[in-house]
Amino acid sequence: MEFMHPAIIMIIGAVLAAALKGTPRKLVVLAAPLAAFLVVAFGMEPGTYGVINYCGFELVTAKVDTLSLVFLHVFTLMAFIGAVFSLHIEDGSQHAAGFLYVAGSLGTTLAGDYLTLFIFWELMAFASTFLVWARREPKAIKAGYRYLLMHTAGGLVLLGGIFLRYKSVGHLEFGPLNPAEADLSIYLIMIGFALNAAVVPLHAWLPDAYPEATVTGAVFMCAFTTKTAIYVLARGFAGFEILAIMGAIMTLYGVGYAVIENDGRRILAYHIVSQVGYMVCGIGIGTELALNGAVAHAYAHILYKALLFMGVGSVLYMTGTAKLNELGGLYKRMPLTAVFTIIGGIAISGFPLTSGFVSKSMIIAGAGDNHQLLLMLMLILASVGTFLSVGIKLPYFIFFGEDKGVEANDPPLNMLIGMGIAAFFCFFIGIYPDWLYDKLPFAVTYHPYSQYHLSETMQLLGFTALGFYVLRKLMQPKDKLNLDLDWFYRKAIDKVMALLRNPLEPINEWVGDLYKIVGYRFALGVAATSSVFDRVVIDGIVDGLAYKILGVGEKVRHTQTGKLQQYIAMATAAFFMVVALMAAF
Amino acid sequence: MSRLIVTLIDYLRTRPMMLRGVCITLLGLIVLYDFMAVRHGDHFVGDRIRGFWALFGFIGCVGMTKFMKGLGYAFLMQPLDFYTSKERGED
Repeated sequence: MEFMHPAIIMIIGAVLAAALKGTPRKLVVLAAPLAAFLVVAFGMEPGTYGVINYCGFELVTAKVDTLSLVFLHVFTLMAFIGAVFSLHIEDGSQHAAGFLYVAGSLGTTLAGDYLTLFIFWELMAFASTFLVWARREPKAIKAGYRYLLMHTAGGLVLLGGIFLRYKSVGHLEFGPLNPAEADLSIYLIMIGFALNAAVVPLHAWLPDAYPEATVTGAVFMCAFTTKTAIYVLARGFAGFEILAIMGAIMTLYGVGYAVIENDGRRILAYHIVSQVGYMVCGIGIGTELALNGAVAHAYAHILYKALLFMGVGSVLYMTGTAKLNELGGLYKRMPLTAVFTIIGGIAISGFPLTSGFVSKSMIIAGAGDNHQLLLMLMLILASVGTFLSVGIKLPYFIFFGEDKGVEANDPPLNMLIGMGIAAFFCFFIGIYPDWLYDKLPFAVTYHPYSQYHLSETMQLLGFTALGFYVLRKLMQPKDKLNLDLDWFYRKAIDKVMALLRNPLEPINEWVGDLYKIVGYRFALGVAATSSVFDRVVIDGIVDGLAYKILGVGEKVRHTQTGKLQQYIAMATAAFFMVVALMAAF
Repeated sequence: MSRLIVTLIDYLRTRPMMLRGVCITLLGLIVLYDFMAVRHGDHFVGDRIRGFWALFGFIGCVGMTKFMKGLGYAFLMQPLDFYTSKERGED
């Protein structure tokens, strides 16, 4: 069977979506992700495709196996749901940016080598920035720049790791890495990946940028960047214990902030940090059960988190705000949005019969079976915080609580259908988990619907709800900004600059004055002396040498072939040499 | 459909005592079920204590809320223009 790269479908879709208008564009917006999904679901067999020899490198543009297939499946499904949700958008550039972003994610997932991976990785970063900028508000523009800078920095660290790895192993193949052989190159690659996975302390770009993105842009963004990072971590870094620890910390860090946040989409953004933490932890634990759990959780998470972003995004779209302190009682005016958001909330909280119940518990069981008790308890505590902040607090203060009288209606039909599809999968996976389990990289022997697991879950959820009821006055959201680690590059850098400026500026002026008095006269003296030396000694030698160089230049001119490919090859070789020299020292 | 949802929620909201009673009964039943559930995955002492996860959930919820709200009031929560006022000053 001919192999069709799904990223190409999305890139063609992006071009057409930008070029066309009206109904033809709507058809393209729906057809491109649907075609990509059908190709992945029915037309893709494990194997290696699209091998290109470029400048002596063997680039594998498509390596298909069970791990990449399951991620491609959910990515293309999500792209279709996102397309349905954003169908009403008239701005073609937003569709194009969204599709290029998806193409980057699909290309990364299929990449069999680090160079292909890096190219698509950067495509993701740049395309997604436009989803933030497309909101066209000063706050969003600034947040977009910060987002882009952070991802560029992460990309450079990744690239440095890739070059060092090439130097040490002599190839660019992307595959599982051995924790026992971890060196600087592997850790640099891990840091590059970890930044996109929003691993604390490299996470602050996420709650900074996602809440500033467009309503539909955030729905795309919440699905792809972090989960593509989870895919590459799962492929390369399974069993790296540091990830298990960092992941468990992320789960609590994210929900901690979600408890005190006021902006609905920022609550959800912090929750991505928390939920991705489960996956990072599962990858770090590295057993078959934990890895299966991480992949299953990524699948389930993409759908219910997108549903939540669609629900809260619809509120923002219809009312102009997503701040909890300004909302309340919206169930009367947005009842369907309320139901869909609550479905997302109970799915993320892991209610029985929802997708969260059958995926999250695999990772927790993976930690328990691996005798990592502390990690297990941290993950369970985070699930308490999840239900508290997203399962109860978020829908309560938006749709129930005190009615603030904000005018609203349920959003347009396409947005409701998008939410409906995601809500369907939240229940479908929960009721029929084997559909998901059959796609996982390892055979599944885990059964989520045991009596004890049901009992444990219902106790945790029920008594968390009781806790919220007792503390409902304390839980009242406050319209404040919560400091996070972005303080370092948004505030502390100013202080460092001010500190440097104060002692440096007077010193600079003093040196300048000193030069005017002493240095200028001294320089004039030296210049007069050296001009005599130049005329007598140097000119004689240089003139002779210059004629020789002209001759060599004439010869070099003939080696210029004018072929772009060779120039790029030479430039790449020169770049590699510089990096290799830097590495050698 | 929308009308039905609103009517149902309105019905429940006008009967808070009944709703509270149902919830408390449910919590009781949940703990009761833990005494009957077949146990497995004995990872630590908590897995052997009946009702342990109910206590864990309640204390976890209260503890996390108090801790984070405390941190918020201590230093995390700042005015909304915490960053922008500085940026304006530089413009």
